[in-house]
Amino acid sequence: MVDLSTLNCNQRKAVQWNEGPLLVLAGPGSGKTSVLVYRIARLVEESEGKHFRILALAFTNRAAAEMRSRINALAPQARERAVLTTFHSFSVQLLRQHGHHIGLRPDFTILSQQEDREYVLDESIQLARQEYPEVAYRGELLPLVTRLLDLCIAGEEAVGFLRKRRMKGAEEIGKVYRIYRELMKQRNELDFGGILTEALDLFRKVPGLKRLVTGIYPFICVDEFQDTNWAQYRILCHLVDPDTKNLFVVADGDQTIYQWNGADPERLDSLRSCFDMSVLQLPENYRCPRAVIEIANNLIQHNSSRSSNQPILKSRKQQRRDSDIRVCSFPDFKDESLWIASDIADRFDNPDCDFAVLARTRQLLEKVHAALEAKEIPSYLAMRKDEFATSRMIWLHSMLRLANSRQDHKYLRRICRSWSDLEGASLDAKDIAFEAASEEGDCLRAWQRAALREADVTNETRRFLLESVSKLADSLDFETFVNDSFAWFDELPDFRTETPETSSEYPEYLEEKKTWKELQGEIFGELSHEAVTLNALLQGLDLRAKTPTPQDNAVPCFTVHASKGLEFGHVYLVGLVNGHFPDWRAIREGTSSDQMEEERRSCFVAITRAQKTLTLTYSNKVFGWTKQPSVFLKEIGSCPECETERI
Amino acid sequence: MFLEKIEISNFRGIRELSLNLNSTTVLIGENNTGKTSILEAIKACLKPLHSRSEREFSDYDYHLPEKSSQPTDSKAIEITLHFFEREENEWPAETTQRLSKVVQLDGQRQCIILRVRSEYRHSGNNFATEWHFLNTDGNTLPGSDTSRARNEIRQLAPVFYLSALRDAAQEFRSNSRFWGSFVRSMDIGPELKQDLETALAELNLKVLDAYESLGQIKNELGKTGKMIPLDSNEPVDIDVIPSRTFDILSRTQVILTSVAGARLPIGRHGDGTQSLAVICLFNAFLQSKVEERYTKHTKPILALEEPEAHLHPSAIRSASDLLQNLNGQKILATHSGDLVASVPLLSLRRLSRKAGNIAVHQVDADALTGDERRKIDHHIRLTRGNLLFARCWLLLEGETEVVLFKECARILERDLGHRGIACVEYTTIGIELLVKFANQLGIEWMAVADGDSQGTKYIQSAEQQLEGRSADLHLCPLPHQDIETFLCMAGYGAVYESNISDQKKEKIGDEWGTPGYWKQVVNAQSKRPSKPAKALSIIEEIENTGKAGVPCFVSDVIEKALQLAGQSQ
Repeated sequence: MVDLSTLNCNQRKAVQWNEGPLLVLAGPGSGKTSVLVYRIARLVEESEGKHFRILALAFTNRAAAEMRSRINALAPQARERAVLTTFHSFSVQLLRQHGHHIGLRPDFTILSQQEDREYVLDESIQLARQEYPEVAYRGELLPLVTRLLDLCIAGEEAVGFLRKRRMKGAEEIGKVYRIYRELMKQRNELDFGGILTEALDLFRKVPGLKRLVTGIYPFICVDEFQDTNWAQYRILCHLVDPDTKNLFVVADGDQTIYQWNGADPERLDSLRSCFDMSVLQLPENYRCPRAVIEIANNLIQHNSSRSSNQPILKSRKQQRRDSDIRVCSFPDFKDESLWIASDIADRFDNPDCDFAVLARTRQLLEKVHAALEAKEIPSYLAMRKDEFATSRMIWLHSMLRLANSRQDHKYLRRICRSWSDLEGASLDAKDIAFEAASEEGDCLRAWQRAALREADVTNETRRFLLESVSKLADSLDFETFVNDSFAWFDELPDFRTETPETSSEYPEYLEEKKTWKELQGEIFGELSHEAVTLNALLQGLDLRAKTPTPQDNAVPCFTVHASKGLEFGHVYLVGLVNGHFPDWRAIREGTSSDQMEEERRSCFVAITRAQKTLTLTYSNKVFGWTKQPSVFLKEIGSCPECETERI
Repeated sequence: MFLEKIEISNFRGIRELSLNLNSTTVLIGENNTGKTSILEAIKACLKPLHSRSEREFSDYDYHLPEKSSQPTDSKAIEITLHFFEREENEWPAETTQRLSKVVQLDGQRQCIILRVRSEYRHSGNNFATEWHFLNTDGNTLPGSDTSRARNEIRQLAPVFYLSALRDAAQEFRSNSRFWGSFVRSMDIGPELKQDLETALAELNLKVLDAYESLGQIKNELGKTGKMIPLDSNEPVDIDVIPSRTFDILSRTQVILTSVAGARLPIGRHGDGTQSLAVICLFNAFLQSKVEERYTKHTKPILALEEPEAHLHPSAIRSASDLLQNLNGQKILATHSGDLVASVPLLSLRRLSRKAGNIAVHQVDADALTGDERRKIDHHIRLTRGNLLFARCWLLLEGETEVVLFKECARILERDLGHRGIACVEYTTIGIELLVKFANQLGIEWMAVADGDSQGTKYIQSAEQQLEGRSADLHLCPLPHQDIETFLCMAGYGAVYESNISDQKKEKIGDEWGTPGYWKQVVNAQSKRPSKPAKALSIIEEIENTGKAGVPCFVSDVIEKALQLAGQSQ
């Protein structure tokens, strides 16, 4: 039996919810992920012997992976029965299994690099110019195409949609968009926006799919619903059985901060009316000190669009003795950064201390990060990394991609480029492609022969090329190939300096190798080990960021958006000045504008990350400009425990 | 799950074959046309493997196109099974859930397509077998866990194979598939078990006491204990009868009392009885054990080879009723016209070998009208099922022709029956329908008709269904008005001449020996003896002359028919 004794009354009510729609509105630190996890484990356990699955959609792959491991620990049978994934991963699986009904083969490629999308767009523009010579250039069109995809506009509806918005050149743009989507399918490729839009198209064109999917997944759960964008919401509508409406949603309207990505505070309302949701509130906060809860409540109530019956947070945390909140001001942002670095340095050796520096923008964080580095405090900036960067890993990844799609010259070019970095041998991609053309275009084998022809290949490399590459080419045994490659990489001397350790990329390679292994493990966990074919692995990798896992005690310097869903012992929220937080655009729109409300929610998210102490800082001058303290500092109100220090 | 279609390539004698299946499918065809291979192919895909090292295919399952071919050079075996919902929503939710990662949609129907591919890999020096699930476009679904989904399919559609050699002594052993499942599941309760075992022990003692010599043996054997360590109290025990209920159950025997009154264990009965007993046992297993051992949605696939073996025709008919009611999808291979007589026409698949390939023929659901189907059922399937096994039909107008052609063939030492040629009278069924039906099932045919206007009509309606065949080989109008006139012209008129009165003979105006003359002779014949009887007297005359006596036209037709039968081989 799943043990529910650690839960409070409201949490238990949510966990014990069976059928029908339920919306759990839960503030930060209220244990909403626990509620989801426990409910899924309980449903799995109570339906032993049944074969239906429970589908839970999280906002990121990391969140899904974490929930997966927590559920599996509670109910081991859940490995088979609970599917923890993201909207994108789930859509990819649907398209893999059923995409041929809309012209996609199961082994399609996901384009995670901007340059690959640009290439397809360029080609679309070329084709559109045959009819409309006036078509604009790629730079203007790419954001538009992305926007149309995000709004799930069908290819044939684009012109009408753009005309209605009095868009100049609606015909041409619509045409390019239509060709772009057709071309993607022809090339058996999809970009991120395309994944969701094509999945929706699939539901529209294959009427039996909804019945099939709802039959397999009679229970649907969504985490962090408030940040669902339009395409995700529409997919969700297809996943829910209209008769049973077994939809379990966890959300916090006060934490909607992804409006720029298509989230919409009103989506919660349409969800409630569309599915006739019952509502359960979880206002209890177990994370933050009482004082932090107080200022968070003060702040968020300035959002006028917030409905009056929305409860405020209730602190359930034991009071700490020393002051939990500090507000500090500085003459210049330089001083602010230095002070933060030395303050963290002072507290750094405490055993149970974890810190985070949060800011509205990356620009400010870079300064603080530099100051921390100067103090030799390990720290890192959250970085989006879509591709591996070392020659070793680029080579490995491209080899696998070429093995999956033997005629794709862009991977062949990357292999040749990275190979020349590794081995010093310059192989000409054009020659190899020409050679490959004589044998059904298999560029992988042609490359292998070309590499072996090089005179100064060492014996180890020769053996690796002969055995491991052949195995990959013959049987797509990617696991062996990956392991063989790592073994070979580890020993590979820099051809310029002769030892592997001195090669400049070696430390980064070790980091990327670790990341690769983690991601591969995560993909195995999502699909079950035996089910991961080369193609599924590549799709899984393309869906995931290649950001390295930081060193254990390193201090994260995160934007507020990157801190979503996380918690830290000691939070430093820096750069609290008008123009930075809130953003200048929000100030321009006025204090009760949508933008300002979203900024306020961001601030609410930021301060509620703190488990022990919260330090709010601002300066009179930032990057040479005189700045006023953030309006939010006023809104959080006077609070006896807040001491404003001037340093 | 309903297996709607199977595609096989390079498996045993089959180079390429695609077969649609019904809820009961009956495979007919000569030996070596792939019937057993089809059943074996299904079995290879769905049988459970007991160990990792066990292979799905043996070396000689790989198609060897030529005498010198080696399994290692063979093209890959590829077998594709198509499981389809027979109608929208047929599969219960649980079936879809179990197969969620590989299920496909074909319109509104769900389906599963499973392909196995096996070939020799020179790089690894081994036979490699790969399993894939496909989408409805025939592309492999990546990221689908084949071994798990295959297990589910084996649960939902297990295959049971009953071969032609049914040895009841084997099937009724305690470790056999069907009997064993009954014996093993017998539960007699601990108290009764205890009572029985006590009673058995007493009985053992009594017997031992009664036979002094057994006691001596026991003592002698007890001395063994001095050489090897044994239990010191009771080192040797002789069980005259089994002392444990388990041993008793494992020796459970089925005894059938014969008409003569002898109680014989089933293995001692004739082959026919054994065969029937095994089928009945199979039926009992399917009725009561499938749900228990598999799932409640399991529909087994039953592959039965020659279920008619060793059975009397009337037993075949009742056995085939039993077979059709078996719980599961049935695929039967048979050589029995009696069995064919008891299955629907549309369930028949006729296999034939043509130029190295195996052709599969079946009657299209909409090729025949209801009335036509009734006619075929009545005149062929129910009464002359054997006709479906022929290679070539010699279509003849009446009994006289049948007798004449059969006997002439015998005189020519060209026995029609042995060579797969069946003579079929067409006047009652209609030549058009017979030809249409033969075309549907891929049976060669040749039409012989009188030279009169009615005969010309027959030839014309057959001609319309030549479908590209040579008219010369398939259409043979008699050179004369009717068969009797033809025989007279061939020199056997005396039989008819002798059968009419002189008075009638005088009335004949035509000159002797002309067709007109003979026509009148024939018309003047009295009813007795009958036309076929007269034909028999002519055959007697032909036989006296020997091969040379057979009219040219007749021997021509026979040669052509043989050619057709040979062609269809």
